[in-house]
Amino acid sequence: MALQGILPPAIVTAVALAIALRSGGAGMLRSPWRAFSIGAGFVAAYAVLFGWTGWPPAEAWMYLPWIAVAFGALGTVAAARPLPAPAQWVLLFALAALATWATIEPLFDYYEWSTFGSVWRVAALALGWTLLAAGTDRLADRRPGASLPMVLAVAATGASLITLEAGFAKSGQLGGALATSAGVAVSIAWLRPQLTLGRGGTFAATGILFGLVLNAFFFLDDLSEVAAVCLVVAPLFAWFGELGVVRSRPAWQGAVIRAGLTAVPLAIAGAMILLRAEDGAYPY
Amino acid sequence: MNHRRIFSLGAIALSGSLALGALALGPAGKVEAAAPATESASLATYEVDLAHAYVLFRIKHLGVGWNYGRFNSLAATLAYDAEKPGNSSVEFSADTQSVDTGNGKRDTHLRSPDFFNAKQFPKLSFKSTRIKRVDAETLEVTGEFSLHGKSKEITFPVEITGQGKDPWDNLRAGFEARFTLLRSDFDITFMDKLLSDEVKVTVAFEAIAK
Repeated sequence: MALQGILPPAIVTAVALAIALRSGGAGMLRSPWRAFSIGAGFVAAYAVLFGWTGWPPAEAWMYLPWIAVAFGALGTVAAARPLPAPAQWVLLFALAALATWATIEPLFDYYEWSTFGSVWRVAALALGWTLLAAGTDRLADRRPGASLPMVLAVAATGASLITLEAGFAKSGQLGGALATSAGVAVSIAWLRPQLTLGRGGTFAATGILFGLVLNAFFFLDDLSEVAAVCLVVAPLFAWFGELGVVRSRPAWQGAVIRAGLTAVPLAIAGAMILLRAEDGAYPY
Repeated sequence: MNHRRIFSLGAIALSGSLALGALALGPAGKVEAAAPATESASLATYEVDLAHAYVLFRIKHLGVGWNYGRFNSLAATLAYDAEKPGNSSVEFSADTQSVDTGNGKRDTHLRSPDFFNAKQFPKLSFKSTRIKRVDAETLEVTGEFSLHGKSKEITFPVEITGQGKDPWDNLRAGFEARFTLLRSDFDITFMDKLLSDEVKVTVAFEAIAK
């Protein structure tokens, strides 16, 4: 079971990034293989773990591979034809709103939200999703190489472990698959530092990350608001690495520091979920 | 002789009336005034006594042992015709959030989208479509069982575990049904290497004639 969630994303992401790198320079930046690399790895893991899901998906978490594909496609567009920032933000917001609506719409009745209450929640969450996607992508653009893949790998590992502890094992598996894909990108970027996930290359990863947390927060009882926010803002904490004292460090030190900064909110979320957890063993 | 014949006819008519009257009385001893003319006069509605009602299940863990659980929040309605069981109907539902296996972490996991996805699918339910008598103490019930957004027709025997007047002069009847579901029929397939596909369900309740 563990290998099913690790080998497919590792192989698919490695192959996709290798193909993208063969294009070299500007070709690599425009390559859809780069934009889809992490998302495709995730989709491969999903398909092996749970089979392919029909349309429309019967459950909210089954939208995750579609989210990976949709955000990967948007990343491809962003890479092939760089858009003005406002236009990119509008597209990201529209896609995030659609994905948020698809994910939490089955719960509108459960939570007894009014139409207005549903709309503003979707809008607020989509705005948060957009900030995460655009903020991470901008940082990836500034910091090519292993730095941002490492940030994403740490954030995905944290989301995986914390949603697993909250009682959602499928989310743990899928978060692990995302972490594996990002980890493969770290290894490749270490060897080929010209690899960048900027210009749309992180959209699929941040899309999956936000989607996982959205599912865990709304469909479980044990993930608090603060813990959920910590999980989704974790990659943005890497921006503190742009402060003068860190910025001047060698690339590998900067990457490690950014990954460490990402781990700070994850540690807070982890502590909160462990404090909330009921006593007693549950070894499956 | 004529007097005797007239008396005999009168006695037959009277006993016939009494018999018809007895048929018109439900098991609760009350006539259902609101029952449509097409329904049996002996059909009685019952209020399910939720303090004495259970939806229990067991599932095999690692192929070696049974693990038990229950749902603590239930609702049920019963219309029971002791003489013509075909006129009877039963519905019950349980809140999937109320699953209780005696282990809080396991219950949290069962409520998650790994299993019941209790927020998206907050109820499991059954609604009978056909009931027939098998013998004096057994009915056969067919109906739609719904769980996790899927419905499946199932048929199972129901034992009439007892009936009679309780200390408060209510007519009370007890029923128990046992049936087996395949969780894969309801797209609940997670951890199929650890947990059996078969889930054995027991539904037992007492009901009081209104």
